[in-house]
Amino acid sequence: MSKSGSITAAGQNLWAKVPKANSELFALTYGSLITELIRDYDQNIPEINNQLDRIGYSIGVRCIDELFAKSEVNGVQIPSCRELRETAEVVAKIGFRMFLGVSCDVGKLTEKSFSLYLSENPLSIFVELPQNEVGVDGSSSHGPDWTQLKYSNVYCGVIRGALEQVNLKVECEFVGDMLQGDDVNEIKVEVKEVIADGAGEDYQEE
Amino acid sequence: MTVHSLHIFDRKGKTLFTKTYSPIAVKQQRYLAESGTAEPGSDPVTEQRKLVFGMLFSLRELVGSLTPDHSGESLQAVRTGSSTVHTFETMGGLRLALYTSNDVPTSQTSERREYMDNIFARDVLRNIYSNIWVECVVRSPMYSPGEIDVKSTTFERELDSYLSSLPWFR
Repeated sequence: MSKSGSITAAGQNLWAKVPKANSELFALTYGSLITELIRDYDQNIPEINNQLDRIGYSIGVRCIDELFAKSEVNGVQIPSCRELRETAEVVAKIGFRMFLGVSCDVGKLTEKSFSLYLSENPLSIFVELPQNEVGVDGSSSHGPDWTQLKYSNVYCGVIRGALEQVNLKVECEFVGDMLQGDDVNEIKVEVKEVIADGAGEDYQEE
Repeated sequence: MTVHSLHIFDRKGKTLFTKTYSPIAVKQQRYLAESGTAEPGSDPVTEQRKLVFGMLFSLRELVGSLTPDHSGESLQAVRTGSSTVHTFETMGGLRLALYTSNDVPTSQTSERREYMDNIFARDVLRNIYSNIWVECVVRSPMYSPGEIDVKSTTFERELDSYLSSLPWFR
């Protein structure tokens, strides 16, 4: 278990080194981003989830370089990951710690997937989702189905983007959300493919 | 001691950045471009760069298959009779190759102990990646992996001022 301990320490170390933003400002900014998306996409909830994933993806592909660079500069050793378990630990203990200051736990580990449990979610402080509107007749509801909204879906995109840069194609899904009344925030990460290293088309054509 | 040139490749071998510094390397490139040994339609200088990427790529594979445990950095430098290519690869697949003259030390572990308090080429490359590439290119709003015009960022300026501050630049 000493390895897992060193990963936690590395995460803490990096968190101490990065510049910080006010967490309330951060949460409120994210909240206004969501309201903006809801307005722009006309309350089309699945599309909003998609857009959040896309935003996250673009963040993720940058994050990973930031993480490597910061660890080089500060002499923090990130263990090389040979198994999915190690990758999961690094995402949970270093990634989340360095960028968000929280750490999360790894669970439900199989050969092809793992789950990340976030006990605290810095994006969702102050947040309460609206109730679904109920129609006059009591049964059918109109208006958006808020239970479909994955408020923190940006995490999924970030994880997807970051892992893709290190040759892991994954799919992420928010399966438990405390905003929707679940006990814990759970992100399920499923490995689809390990991208083979190799010269691509650009190399051939250039 | 001279820095000849620097190439940066992405994971797929696409050249993201290339710059030639020393007059002698510029001369060689011009000669190469004029002599035109490559097939029609392709630029000999580009061909040469592709060759270098291909070599670094294959050598890394070779080194990987020769190393029993995968710990430790694999390929550090390739040395010929007159010059050295120092290489540094990030986990994200970015590959930097720095051409220098042979008297530039690669890293602390090289046998030439007389350079104990010198600056090592690999540390330079690491620094270029962490402090210049990430700051100027990755953080650029135009960045998306593999598709960025590096020339439009401040990368080149920062790189030039950093490289020319090195004791072994000229």
